[in-house]
Amino acid sequence: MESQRRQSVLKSAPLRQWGPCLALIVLCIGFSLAEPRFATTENLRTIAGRCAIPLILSVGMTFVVLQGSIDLSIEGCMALSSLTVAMLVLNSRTGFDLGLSGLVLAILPGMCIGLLNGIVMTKLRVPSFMTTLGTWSASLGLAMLLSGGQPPLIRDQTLRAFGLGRTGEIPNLTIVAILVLALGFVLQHYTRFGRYSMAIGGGEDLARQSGLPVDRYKVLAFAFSGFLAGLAGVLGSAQIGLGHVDIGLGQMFATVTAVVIGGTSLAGGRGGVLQSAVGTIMLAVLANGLIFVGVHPDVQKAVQGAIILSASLLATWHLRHRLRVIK
Amino acid sequence: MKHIITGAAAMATCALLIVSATTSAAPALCDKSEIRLVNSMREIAQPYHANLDKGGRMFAKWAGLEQRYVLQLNQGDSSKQVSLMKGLLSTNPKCTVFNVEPNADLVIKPMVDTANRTGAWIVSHWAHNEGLHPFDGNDQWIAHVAVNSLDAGVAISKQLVDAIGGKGGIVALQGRLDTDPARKRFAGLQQVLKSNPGVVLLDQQTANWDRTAAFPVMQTWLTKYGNQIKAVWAANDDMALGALEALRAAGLAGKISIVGVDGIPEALDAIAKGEMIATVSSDAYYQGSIGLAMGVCVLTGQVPLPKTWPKEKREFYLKLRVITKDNAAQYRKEPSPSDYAREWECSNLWNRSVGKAF
Amino acid sequence: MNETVLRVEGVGKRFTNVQAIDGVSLDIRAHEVVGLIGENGAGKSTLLKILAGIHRPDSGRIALRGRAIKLKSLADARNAGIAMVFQESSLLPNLSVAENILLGHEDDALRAGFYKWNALYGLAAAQLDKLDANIPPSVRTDTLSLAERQMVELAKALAIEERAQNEPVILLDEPTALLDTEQSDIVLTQIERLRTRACVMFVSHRLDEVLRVCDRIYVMANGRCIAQRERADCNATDLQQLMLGRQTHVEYGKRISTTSPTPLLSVRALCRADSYHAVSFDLHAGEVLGMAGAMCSGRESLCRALFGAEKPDSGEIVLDGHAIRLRHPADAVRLGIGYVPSDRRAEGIVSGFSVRENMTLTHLNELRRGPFIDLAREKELVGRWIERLRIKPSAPDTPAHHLSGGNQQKLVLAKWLIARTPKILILDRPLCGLDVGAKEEIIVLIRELAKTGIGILLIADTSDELIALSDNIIVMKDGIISGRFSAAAEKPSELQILERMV
Repeated sequence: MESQRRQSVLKSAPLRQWGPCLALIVLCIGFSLAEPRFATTENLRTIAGRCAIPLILSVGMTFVVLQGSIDLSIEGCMALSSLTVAMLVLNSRTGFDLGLSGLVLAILPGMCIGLLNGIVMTKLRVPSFMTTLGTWSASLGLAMLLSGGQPPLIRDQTLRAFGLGRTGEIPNLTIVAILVLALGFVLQHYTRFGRYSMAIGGGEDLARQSGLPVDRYKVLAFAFSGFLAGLAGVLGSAQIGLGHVDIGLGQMFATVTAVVIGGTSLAGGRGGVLQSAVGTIMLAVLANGLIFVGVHPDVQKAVQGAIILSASLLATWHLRHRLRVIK
Repeated sequence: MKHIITGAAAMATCALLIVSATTSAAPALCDKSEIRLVNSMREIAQPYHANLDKGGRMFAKWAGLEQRYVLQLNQGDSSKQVSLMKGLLSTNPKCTVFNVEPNADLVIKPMVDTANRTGAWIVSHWAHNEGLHPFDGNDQWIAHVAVNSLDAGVAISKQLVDAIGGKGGIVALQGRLDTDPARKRFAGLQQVLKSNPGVVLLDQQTANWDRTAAFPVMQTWLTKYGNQIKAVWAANDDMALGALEALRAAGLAGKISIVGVDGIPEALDAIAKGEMIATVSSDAYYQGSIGLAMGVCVLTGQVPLPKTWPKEKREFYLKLRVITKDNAAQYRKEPSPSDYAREWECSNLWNRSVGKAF
Repeated sequence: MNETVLRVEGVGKRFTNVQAIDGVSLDIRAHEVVGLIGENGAGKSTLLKILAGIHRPDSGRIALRGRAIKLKSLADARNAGIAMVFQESSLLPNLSVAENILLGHEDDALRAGFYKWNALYGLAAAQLDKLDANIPPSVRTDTLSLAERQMVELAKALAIEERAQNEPVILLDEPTALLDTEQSDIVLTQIERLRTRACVMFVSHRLDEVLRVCDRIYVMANGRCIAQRERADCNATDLQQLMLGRQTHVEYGKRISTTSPTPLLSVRALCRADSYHAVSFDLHAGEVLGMAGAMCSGRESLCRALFGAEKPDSGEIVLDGHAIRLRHPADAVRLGIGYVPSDRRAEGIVSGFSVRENMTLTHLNELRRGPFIDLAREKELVGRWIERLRIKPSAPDTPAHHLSGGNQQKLVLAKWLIARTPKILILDRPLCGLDVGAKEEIIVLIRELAKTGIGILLIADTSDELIALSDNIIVMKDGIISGRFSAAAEKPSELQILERMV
């Protein structure tokens, strides 16, 4: 009976795991049926391009959420890095022309904000919600100062070409996103960072008691999230052509939504980068598909909201019947 | 000799009396050093708003009130715009002038009510709710500088239709749907489309005035409609530029006509390069400063109190300028105070009025 | 005589207002198994936790192989070669078994910081093999049953062997408490084998086990170490006497049956897929109905159905002549059915609350006066029950999680008895983890309750308890009732019950 019971837990798990994937496939099929041009290579390329930056952000957010925390500051990190890169490469405001090194340097502000988040959280014991809320405002403010009302326009043509171009059939930004996703996957399943993050999310007190350096991994997770947000800001600027304070507008909420509907629980300890990726792609498909199908802009937000709500319910339905805490 | 001096003195006195009779229409309400100038707008990241602020600062410096200039940003939150105003008016309300770019139409009434109650002064721009007027007993509401967004929309739509020869498919990027400029400009497009049946509106979406939002929408349209799209209509320059980047990614920059509104420097550059074909400017520098100028004129007594003004001086349309390749060059340079100083003079405040609004 | 590995001298520890340990001295020698016994609340767990590095002693010293040590954390202790197997799980639920066993020491299975999963599984399997445990190292720990987790805990402690330069010290805090006979046997065999390469301190309530594996036995009472015996020099009764300071009569003698003729509760053809099938029985007022069965016989599931915590697929439950449908435990409470769970931490008490708050939790309605709680009445009621059940510490505002296991059990019972007497009480292993003295008290209590007319459904730990307490016994096996015994007839023997169970 015991082995039977264990088997039944395993049996239900795959259904739960594959739920979001199934939902994604259903969405794709639905949109293709409604509008045949949806399923063309060109549109798939558009969707792939559209979810590049959200994918990068979702990888960073996943580790933070796996630990049971949250990072609200990614929009600020993006803005800061966006302004920085636009001022370090050839541009309309400053005399710098640092090219590739400018690009790399510009990711640092994002990572520094992430480090700050981690340190404040672990040393000063401020909950991640409050910490990142504060750094979100601060970094946005800093970005606004840098922008000064006259946003620097990027004139470095190699960077612009990279941001807007493709390699073969795939947009360059999407290739970067796939690389980041692969990195995230390896980190999650093959390093202590990933496994201990999962452990911390599943029971922080227990993890601490067992001697795991919990604080160290928390700082790491936030630094990683800030780093990826900085990267996303830089890439966004390459695409749009200037340092823009609003480069990340709306991304925080979208990223958290993607992570949740993909199956990574906000309580921590459950989920992963691939799951978050499914959620991200789902949102991109949704946004793209609604335009294709011709849903009226006034109604779009409502339809999006309804679909996201249903997806979240599906992702957490099985937890309704959890009666006892298994100890 | 004695009569000459007496005569001259008499004439001088007469002249003085005549001059003072005509000019000193009201006593000064505030000491100039007490006047506070406030620009209240959404944010400052976009060039349009940045130029509003610049215009305000230019005026403040010119008027010697540089230290008394305050900028209030509400980040798209209407209630915040109102509460920021109330907060500032806890001190010295009677000598404060507000020049307001409303976040949404419905924000004007609470701000006017606040001004009425505290004795502060307010000049608003763009549009407000129907039935609400400065001359209906709102004595603290100096003036409303309306922009005929319908005309603006019509103007750029006409440019667009001409550019594609009156035939073909177009797509439209709308602004934030709960604002009057967004609605009226789009109405202008629809008006022009009605008289040009050869032009088809393939699709319209809102990108909320933001270029980062416009980019993916344009990309999706390119995939959906392919080469059916001959032109892009955008309710503001920022969105137009976002669409331009999407075109650039597809190698179509300059091949598809784009129009926008605002006249920001980037758009002017794009027009000069041929990547955009037209925009309309209400002159952000002017808008950001004229309200403050009016306020200073009222507070220093150089003009009579607004409640004595005729209706067309309380509510008027601002002259719009259509900018195309032909005249882009003259608008591209950075403005200096001397460009506007004449219009800030109290006798020239209505220089750019084209008549009563609404 | 072997050399002393671990020496404890005059160690004391105080928690807020309770002196848990007071001047304890003992030692553990190489290649021996030392038993530590005592009543609930005697301080055994606390002492172990100090040795394992979780708590720091207020006074005294600890010396490992002659050198004084100060242990600041669990990791510290493990590095020094002292490992503890916990009473409550220290395993991280969403990691795999292998990761838990090798937690913090995955180095051998890492290459340039990256996990070599096969290597990890191999290392873990090696530890599990020491215990003959049939657990795949790759499954998630929260899919395992309680017993399996205990095995993994043991394997985790044993993993220290490969790393310690010297032989490790292994501390076992009631490792067999949640295991059935077969599994306990395996664990005990392992403990005996450990002797050759480690020294062990073994805490248990089951005196027969202690006498089986230990070379020496320390007895603790009231935070002090009061006696030491060699295995050869004592027997169970001696030890009990020492623990309680008096003779005990755990007399499971004949009792006068107090059952009434009409059934209070009738269960007819109750079924639930994968748990139980076609279960029918009657429970009378004043009757104690014992339920015997092995681990997966369906007993627990059945009891939860009777309490409304699980819904059966088909069948009928009739209470006082009316068929009832229990959708939710609140329904059962309203109808007068109380349930005392086996896992008191998870299901019995709210650990953030005080004793008083826990006690009155389910019956706040009865203590109401208008919209407020009648504090005076609550105080009097709580005080009365603390006294009656001898709950220690007796301050009503003591946080519930500070109570020892046995006292927590008493608290859970009090919860159901307070304010209004239930009609039916379902007791799921009420004597689990209690020492002899506490057991006695609870048994007396159960008998008293039956006398007052409550119908009691009892799942007991051991067959002899069952036989002694019950009027009738049902034996379940694989989900169906495989045997019924009536006490009115001849009392069944343990063997007879065992036969039906397996």
